[in-house]
Amino acid sequence: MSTLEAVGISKTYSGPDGNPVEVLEKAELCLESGGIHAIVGASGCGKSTFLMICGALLHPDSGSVRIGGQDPFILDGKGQAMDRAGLLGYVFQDFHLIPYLTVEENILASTLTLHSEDMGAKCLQIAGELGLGHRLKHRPGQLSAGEQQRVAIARALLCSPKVLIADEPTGSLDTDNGKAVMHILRDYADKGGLVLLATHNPMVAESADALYTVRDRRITSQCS
Amino acid sequence: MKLSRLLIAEIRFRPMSSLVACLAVWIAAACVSGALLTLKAYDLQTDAEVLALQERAQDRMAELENEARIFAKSLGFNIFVYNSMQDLGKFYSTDTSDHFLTMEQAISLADADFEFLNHHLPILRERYDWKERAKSVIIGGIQGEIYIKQQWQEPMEVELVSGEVHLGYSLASEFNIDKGDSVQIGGRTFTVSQTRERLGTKDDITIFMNLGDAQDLLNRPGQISGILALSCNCAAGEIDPIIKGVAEIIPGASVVEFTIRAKARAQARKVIAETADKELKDIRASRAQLRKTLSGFSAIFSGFITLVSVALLLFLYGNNVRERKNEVAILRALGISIGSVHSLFMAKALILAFIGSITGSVTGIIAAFTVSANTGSFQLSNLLILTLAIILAACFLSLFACWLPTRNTAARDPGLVLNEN
Repeated sequence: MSTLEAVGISKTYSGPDGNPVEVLEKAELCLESGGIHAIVGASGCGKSTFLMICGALLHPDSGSVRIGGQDPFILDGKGQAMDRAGLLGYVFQDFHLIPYLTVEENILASTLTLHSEDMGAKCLQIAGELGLGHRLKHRPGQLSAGEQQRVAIARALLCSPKVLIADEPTGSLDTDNGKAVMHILRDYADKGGLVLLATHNPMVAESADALYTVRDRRITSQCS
Repeated sequence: MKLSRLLIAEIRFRPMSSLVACLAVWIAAACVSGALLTLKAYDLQTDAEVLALQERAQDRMAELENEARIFAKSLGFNIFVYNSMQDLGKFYSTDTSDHFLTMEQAISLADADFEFLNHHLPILRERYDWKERAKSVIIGGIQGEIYIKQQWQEPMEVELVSGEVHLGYSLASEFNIDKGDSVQIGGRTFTVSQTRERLGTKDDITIFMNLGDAQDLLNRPGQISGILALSCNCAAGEIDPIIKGVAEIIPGASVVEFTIRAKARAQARKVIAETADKELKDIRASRAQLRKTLSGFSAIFSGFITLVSVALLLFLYGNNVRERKNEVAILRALGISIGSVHSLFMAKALILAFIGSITGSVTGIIAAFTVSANTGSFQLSNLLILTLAIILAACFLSLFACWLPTRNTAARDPGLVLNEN
């Protein structure tokens, strides 16, 4: 059983003129635990859409997604929420930190649903490992872009997700910070985590264990 | 970490929008509570003024009643009930009755349910040849009042005890008799307990004595010439009901009214009572009209302010939700359910509505107390109920204003929102 399995995914948006814009057509991807898997392709080809669907953040028009053998889209709202909190982590190009929370609170925001007691200590540990120990009481606006992305990664990793979805994780970062972020993701993947990311960055693509290209609205990988 | 931490941190992060939302509720609550309480104070003021006017009118009526009693007393009685067989012309010319009523009839009239007469005074009046003084006089036999239904009331005429007489002015002067002297009348000795002042009427040649003594002296046991009475104001100017009523109680009796001044006085009382009543009705009508105007204005003003406040809240919360749509998407990506996202926004609206409405209500109450008279009669329980109602209404409207923009944003796929960026 694949850790992440997306089969026959199609998605169409309504364009600005009201006409439908088909982004994905029967895209497929099946991934096992461990490793960094990168989706590449031209801008606007549907990488992010596919990522969002795989991360249970966007309903596909057709097809199915299974994470750890469970289709999140057939669950009720609460079940989906629990899946996202327990199985998935997200990192975005624009970080999407909550501006009024401190670094520590942003990292702990991923525990809002799980209510785990020991997350405080783990938060401090991860923050320390990511070089954020001295920034815990700062707000996102007081951090550099690299620091903000590390906070977003810390938030994503706090609950030890099975799958980490990363959409252009280095897109807003300089080379050094980009490398640092990829180093963190590599560590997570080496420990058995599955990283699925979308990128334009050749350096990021090179550091991935597997590459998948979106072409003609399709992604093809062998699903057993 | 708990959602409450998120809630408080967000309010502190965007204090101005929270403050404006709170102010919108505050203004609406202050206007509504102020307007309602001012109207209530106006009602209380109206009641107080009408009550004061009623009391003044009642006092004036009581004064008039007393004046009328004193006046009537000075005038004497204005009704004479007599045997209908009696020729009144002859009675006036001879001062003697041919036909009599009885004491039993007088008592039955006083005991009857007959509201038109007050102060029943039975009299026996007859021309008498006072042999001891060789003088033709009038004997006036009187008894203190027969109290209506045996209930004591301020008497209009003195009660003469047996053995005592009052002498009319001319008799006392002619025979040089003073108070305390003894006189012989019909072979019986009487003490003069009073000599009366000059009236210029036949009373000046009248010997007033106890009715029983007069009946003995004149050999008219149990008989009376008639009953002097005072007609009450309810029958002012209308003698017919009295004649009819008396005839029903004392068959064969008739009534004559012999003064119009008391009647005029009674009529005046009636007019004053009617005027006071009309004045009260006019004041009530005038204040009711003004109240209607004030009430309409308050309703429009308060309604307009409330509508503007709700519109402002809709705008503020809509803006807040738009501003935070990425945050909502991230929170949902972090595993927070749609319901929890809803409750996060609703709780904020509820807190701001509560603070705004409670401070607004208090402000409205203070304003009403400042500008209105007669707020002392407000009951604390009513103020609490009003405040509670305003808080509930404000919370409901705020939740509505927040729920509208939140429901769509919270329900959207987080990926869709994040992709839009």
